[in-house]
Amino acid sequence: MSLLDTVDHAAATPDHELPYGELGLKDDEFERICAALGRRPTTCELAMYSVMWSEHCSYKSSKTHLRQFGTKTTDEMREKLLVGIGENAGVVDVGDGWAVTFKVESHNHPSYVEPHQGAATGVGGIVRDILAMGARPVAVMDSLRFGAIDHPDTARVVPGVVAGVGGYGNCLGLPNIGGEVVFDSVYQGNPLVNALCVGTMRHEDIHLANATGEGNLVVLFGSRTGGDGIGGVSVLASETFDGTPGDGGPSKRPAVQVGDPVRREAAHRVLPGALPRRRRRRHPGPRRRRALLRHLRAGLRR
Amino acid sequence: MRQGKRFELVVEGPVTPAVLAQARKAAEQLLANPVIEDVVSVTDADAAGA
Amino acid sequence: MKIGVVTFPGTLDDRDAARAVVRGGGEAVALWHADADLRGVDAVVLPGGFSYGDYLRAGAIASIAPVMGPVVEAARAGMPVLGICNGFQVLCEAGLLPGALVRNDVRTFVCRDQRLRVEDASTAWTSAFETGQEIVVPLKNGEGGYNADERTLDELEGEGRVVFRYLGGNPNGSRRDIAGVRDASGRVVGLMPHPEHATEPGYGPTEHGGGASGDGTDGLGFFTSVLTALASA
Repeated sequence: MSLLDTVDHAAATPDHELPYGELGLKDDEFERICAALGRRPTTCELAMYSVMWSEHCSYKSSKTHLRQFGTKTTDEMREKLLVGIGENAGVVDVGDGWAVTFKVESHNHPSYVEPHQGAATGVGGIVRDILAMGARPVAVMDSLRFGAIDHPDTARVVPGVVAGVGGYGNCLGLPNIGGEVVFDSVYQGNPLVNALCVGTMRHEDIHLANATGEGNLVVLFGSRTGGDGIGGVSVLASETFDGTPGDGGPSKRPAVQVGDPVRREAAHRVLPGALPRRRRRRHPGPRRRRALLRHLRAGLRR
Repeated sequence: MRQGKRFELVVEGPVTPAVLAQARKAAEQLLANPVIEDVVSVTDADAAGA
Repeated sequence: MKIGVVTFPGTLDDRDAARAVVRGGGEAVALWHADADLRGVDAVVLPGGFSYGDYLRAGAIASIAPVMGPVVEAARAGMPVLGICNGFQVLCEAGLLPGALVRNDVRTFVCRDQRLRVEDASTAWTSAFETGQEIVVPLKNGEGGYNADERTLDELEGEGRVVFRYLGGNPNGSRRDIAGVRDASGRVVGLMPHPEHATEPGYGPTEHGGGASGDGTDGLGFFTSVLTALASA
């Protein structure tokens, strides 16, 4: 086999076995991918599909519930709603040209597998979404559900989750302004770790996650990909754990991302300057692009 | 109980007494804070047969 | 009067510090860790946070950042410098103040409205207070235990260089309840608690009756004091 699994190579080797099961894809999902491509996916394509079709990214099981946001929103709600479902975070008008953006997200499976980093990166993810909207994060909150309070595995999970949520926010200077916690055996093996981040911004600073036209510059920035790789979302999110010592949860620890809040803080500072304001051109010209890249590089360098 | 830190420095070329002295200086002036930490030992790991 | 507020990568309280400077009546000037000069400021505040991630030791890398060259030089020549929390750690690491800050003896992060006694109201940053006055400002740290050898501590006490002491229980194991100290000149002051978070009614401490001010603005005195010191210099 050649070193690179190219499209041509994939077409020529239809029977090559791919580890789609380990990446969280079911048999029928893999068949759908093959049908869509008219061949087997390359290893790279398989990794991309496994991420995008994971519970974490596509909400395949909770989609039906999430749709209610679309159908149950009233005109009265829409009046103050500047950005609704579908974007990185919702935005609500609070008057005088100011807006508040909220995002709440679960990081349940990673937090079960590796409580501290799982919870910490859960906070990291929502902070990123608040930043992506063009806002400045100002506070975090959390809503937690753990298994029975006297269960030994609960004692393993709780301290790490609490330290992870608090520690990550603190490194960014974000106070944890409230939360709630419930212990019940139904959450054994499936703790719920929901983190919320609030950000504030001027209306003109709202940024949406879409771009049109050709020739747009795509910049990826942030901390480097860790030893966990990019498969964490697919490996963990679609998994089921039962809370018994042999369920394999903690053994999946290498798939949990390790947070780097200090690097995030740097991103935090460079992003507002790098994003063009709405009333300026949405598509930066070559000179502005070079300035943006310089700005990002200077801000992220240590 | 005591706890400590261990730094491994990689240098280009052979570890001469001068290089070792430089490493000791770095340990005393930057890597350790003499108010709360003591430099316990600065050695050439290869020479020590590590 | 221009008060510089230094931002290192990882500094978090620079916005609040700049706001406190303005509320005190000064002009806040943003200084960046890589700056080679102090942009003509009359005084400098090193705010809290996690400079350079606090890798190696809290404040250690920041203490040798480019901007610290001119800060140390200016401080030795009499420029008022205030180090808050991580800024205090930076001043200790830079050798402008004696001692070092170590992990809290309780081993956890502590966040609370903290009562302090102003032990020395003669410094550039505390003249708005009375010696012996009790104030309340927020405290939030994981490595806030003030530490120095007995001789240094005796010297500090003997020379009256302990500027603040914790009241109502030592929150972090600081030796002799020391919350803040000054240099020999009284121009350089460092403390773990956060006066910059107690300068605006409605946003400062609410416990202990909101402090001496009664409305949680006890920290404002730091930023008016320095203007007095600069005006009389």
